[in-house]
Amino acid sequence: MIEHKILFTGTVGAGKTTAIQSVSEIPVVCTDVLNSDPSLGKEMTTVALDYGEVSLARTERLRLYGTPGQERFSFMWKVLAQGALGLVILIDHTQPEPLADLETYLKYFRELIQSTACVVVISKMDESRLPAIKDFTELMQKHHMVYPVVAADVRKREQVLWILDLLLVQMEARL
Amino acid sequence: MNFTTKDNDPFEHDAPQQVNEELRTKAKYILQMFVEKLHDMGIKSAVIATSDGFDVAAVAMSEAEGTRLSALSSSISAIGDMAVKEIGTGNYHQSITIESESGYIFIMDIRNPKCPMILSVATTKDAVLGKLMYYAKQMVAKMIEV
Ligand SMILES: Nc1nc2c(ncn2[C@@H]2O[C@H](COP(=O)(O)OP(=O)(O)OP(=O)(O)O)[C@@H](O)[C@H]2O)c(=O)[nH]1
Ligand SMILES: [Mg+2]
Repeated sequence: MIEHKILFTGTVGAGKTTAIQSVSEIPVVCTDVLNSDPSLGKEMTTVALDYGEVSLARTERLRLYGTPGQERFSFMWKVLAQGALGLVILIDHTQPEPLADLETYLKYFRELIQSTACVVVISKMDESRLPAIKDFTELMQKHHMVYPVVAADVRKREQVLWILDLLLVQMEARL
Repeated sequence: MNFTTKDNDPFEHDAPQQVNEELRTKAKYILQMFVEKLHDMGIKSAVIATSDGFDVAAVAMSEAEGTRLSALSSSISAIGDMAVKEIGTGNYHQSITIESESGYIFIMDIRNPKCPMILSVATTKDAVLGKLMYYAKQMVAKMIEV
């Protein structure tokens, strides 16, 4: 059994916990507590980590870790990034500055991104339309990062599997 | 086994409530008394945070330290609960103690139904830990009521 550690990070409410819950084959270990910041607009928020597992083939299992989105928990980002072989950056498209948000994560995870596989996922595009995917792609290019940027609904299992596939393709290409 | 607090814990389902000034003032007062009274037993500083890691009251530490320890204690407490459930020794930790070269930090949950909080106390290495935790539990009981 080959095991890979995959890390889901990105903005508050972008769907990191949701994505892991959508695909995990084990009950998700989740550290969501009552959120007391009304500006987040949701009831619960992750304060330490999410953990789930999914097997893709009989010989391959992914261990899925999710970070908290709030930046004051960034000490957990560092801890969770250790040993990750792939990074999924989720950006909530309905927030006021999704491009600046992406830039924050690109900067913070720069080293990990450059040494591993990465996919950028824009979530909730059903609710707002601009900026377009190509604006995110251009931002990546500005930072000399060539990785897929896709829109997805992480509440849907198939779409999360597709995201993981985009990671695995890169990981295999590196071997 | 299911560790998801989202679905099976009625406690976590109370309507979110912002930390109000009244709660801050009360917490600050109670915490201040606690630290002053027990200073001779080795307490260095203490902070009360919301369960999602916002500081409510801090005593004997800078604002930046209070903010930082609040976020940290929130993560540590959540991981403690996870461990307890995983091992099957209950649903919630009652305290977490971290020993280091020059002192201890202990963390206790304040399961206030309106606003769940976390108490973190930093002590010297020679602190009378048992006694301090006994008094801390009394204070936690008070904070559950406010
Ligand atoms: N409309 C819409 N809602 C979505 C989409 N993807 C996720 N959601 C919703 O967005 C919310 C995401 O919440 P979480 O999964 O807790 O977000 P998170 O990224 O883990 O947030 P933190 O842990 O607080 O940083 C959930 O209520 C989802 O149902 C989408 O594509 N469209
Ligand atoms: Mg989450």
